[in-house]
Amino acid sequence: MCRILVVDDEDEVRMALARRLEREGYTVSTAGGESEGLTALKETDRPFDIVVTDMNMGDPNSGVRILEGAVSRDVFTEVIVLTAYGNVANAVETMKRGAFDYVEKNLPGVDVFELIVLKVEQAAQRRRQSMQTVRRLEEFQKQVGD
Amino acid sequence: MTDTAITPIPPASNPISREKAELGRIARLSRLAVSGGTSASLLERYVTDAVEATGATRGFAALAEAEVGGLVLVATAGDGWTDSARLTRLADRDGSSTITSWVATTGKPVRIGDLAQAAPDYQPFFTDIRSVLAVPIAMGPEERVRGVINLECVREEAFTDGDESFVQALADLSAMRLALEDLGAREAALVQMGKELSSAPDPDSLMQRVVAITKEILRFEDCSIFFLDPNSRRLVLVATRGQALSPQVKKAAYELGVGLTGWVGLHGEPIRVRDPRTDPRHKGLHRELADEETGAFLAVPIKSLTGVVGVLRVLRRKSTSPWFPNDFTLADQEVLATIASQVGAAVDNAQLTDRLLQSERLAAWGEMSAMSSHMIGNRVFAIKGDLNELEYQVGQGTEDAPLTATRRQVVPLLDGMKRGIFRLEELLAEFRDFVRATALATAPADATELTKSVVEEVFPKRGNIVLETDYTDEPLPINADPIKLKRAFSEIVENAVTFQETADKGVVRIKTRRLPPNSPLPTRIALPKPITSGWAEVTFADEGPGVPDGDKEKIFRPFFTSRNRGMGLGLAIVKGIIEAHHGGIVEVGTQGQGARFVILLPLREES
Repeated sequence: MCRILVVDDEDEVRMALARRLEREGYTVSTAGGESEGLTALKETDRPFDIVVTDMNMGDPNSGVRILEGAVSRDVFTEVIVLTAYGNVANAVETMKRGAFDYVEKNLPGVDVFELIVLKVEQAAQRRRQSMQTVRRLEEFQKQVGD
Repeated sequence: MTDTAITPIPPASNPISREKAELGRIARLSRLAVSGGTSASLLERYVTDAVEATGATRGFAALAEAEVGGLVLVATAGDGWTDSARLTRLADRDGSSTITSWVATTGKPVRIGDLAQAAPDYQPFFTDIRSVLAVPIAMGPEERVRGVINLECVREEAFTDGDESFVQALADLSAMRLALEDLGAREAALVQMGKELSSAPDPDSLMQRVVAITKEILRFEDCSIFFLDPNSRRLVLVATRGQALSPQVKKAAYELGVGLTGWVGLHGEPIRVRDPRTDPRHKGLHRELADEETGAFLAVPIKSLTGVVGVLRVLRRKSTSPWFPNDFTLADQEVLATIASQVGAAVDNAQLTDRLLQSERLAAWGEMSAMSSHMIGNRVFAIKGDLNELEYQVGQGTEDAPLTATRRQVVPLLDGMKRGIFRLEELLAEFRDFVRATALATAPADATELTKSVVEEVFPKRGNIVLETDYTDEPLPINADPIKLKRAFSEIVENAVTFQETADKGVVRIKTRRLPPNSPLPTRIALPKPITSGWAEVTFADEGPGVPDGDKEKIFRPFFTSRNRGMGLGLAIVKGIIEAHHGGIVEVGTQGQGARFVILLPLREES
């Protein structure tokens, strides 16, 4: 089953996200901030498939560092960044660095939790495809090697 | 003065030494004119010398005093002067009949050899006199007479051509000295004004000092300053010197264009008249002096970078001698204009300082606001998560398992909470836009292209509102934060559409054009700095209800709204964005005919 790490320094936010994603059947771990998140990424036995992280946790670049931590553990981990409204510049920066997508938390008129579920599904799909490609590549190399 | 002794001129029997002595005397008298001492002591010397040199019985010098409106005795020499004679020599006389005032009025010298024969009816002050020589003190035949040097003699035919030339030379030197003193006084006044303008503790006391200096040193009867109130667009009295208007400070006001003062405020041109009552623009609303007492009126505009910000006006009491002119000269007007320009520069300075302080405060405030809206946003996000879960728990109900009655009651509550949360998020968004309006990430752009893309994105594809565009073919290169500027333009276009939607008809006219530098700009537009490159002008006009005259500035203030939506920050955000681009925005439409927003953005320098 798909494993997700939710990183956010707000207890309520973390809980709400975890609850919603668990409803979809994902296995969710949580971390309450940047350093806790980086530790979780490092110490986990098996890399997380998807990381959902807040962009600004006391530091406007904490999201970027979580992204770096996730990708350095597993290059195919998909990262979704949550941003405050209007902070598009930072979000675009994380996209350039390889984030799957970003979601504005306070988009008026949008049930943003449904949007996050959608993005997570898409991210999971892309990760599956990536993994399949890698597996095929490995099998191909094995055959060539034999 | 060091050398006060007067060398007697040798007898005519020795022409060479007499000539040398005269040359020496002229050299000494010329030097006196530019050496220290006051003009009064100089005139004292000259009159004494003139009496001595011409063999006159007595003599005096009188100066025209504009404030008094007549001649004032300043120096006497020779026999027969008593204190009472000095006091009454020029007083209580019918001005038209005295030789001195005739010279002062006409600027022409008078020489009479036999008074009894030339003017049998003339009643001289000193009854013993037979000859008179009076010359004007003036910088030239066209200039206003500053005074008169008058010599009298008990002998007939006492004064020669040579005497007249000599005394006229003294009068000319005196005139030069008086002009120098005037210039010195004006320079001192302007320097003092400059110092005080840059060091005044507060605007009110500053303006009081301006009128005080203007009046004292430049000798105006009274002086008042009116400033344009940006909200009411009226010229309000901020300082005055005289008693009559003092209680009216901050109360007395002129509508632009009303009265002489209002005319100056509206047109930015000075007015200089002798009797204000004769001017058709005169209204006599707020007066330092009664109209019939006013002998001269002068008002000049106070201009800042953004246009006329006030009016400085001075007046003089009517002369006590009706023949004596004391209206303001062109030189007076120039001095007053210089003072006004210093005041204008001080206003610009003060506004700049104010803006700097404000931007610092805004920066701190912005940081705090961004922080708190981030925190609020996070809480709202969490609540949205709870609502999402609650909605899930309540469920939709199916045909087989319909919702229980209790749950059915919860559904509309849930919807209401969701709507409330969305409203809250809209407000947050609006608030953040407002706070961040001035933080730009600029890049080269074209004002017309930007406008076109906004229209493409925002203008409704369906509906009965017509779009009319008139885009210039010329490039309009500007430095712009495209996201923010498009946000500003969108707001205006959306407003234009919304306000015409109820009628389900209307027009939105959008025009771009290039304004060369020094083009006439829309009135009331406030621009942050002068530019040399010219402007990109973007105009949005509609046929909606328009903006009432009294609201034309208010619509740009935060929290001003005529609609029941949002926080009323829309146009405040627009203005903030435009001004952060060093541009300006003004609404110039007519209520009932539609709104018309004119936006000016500085063209890029290299263009």
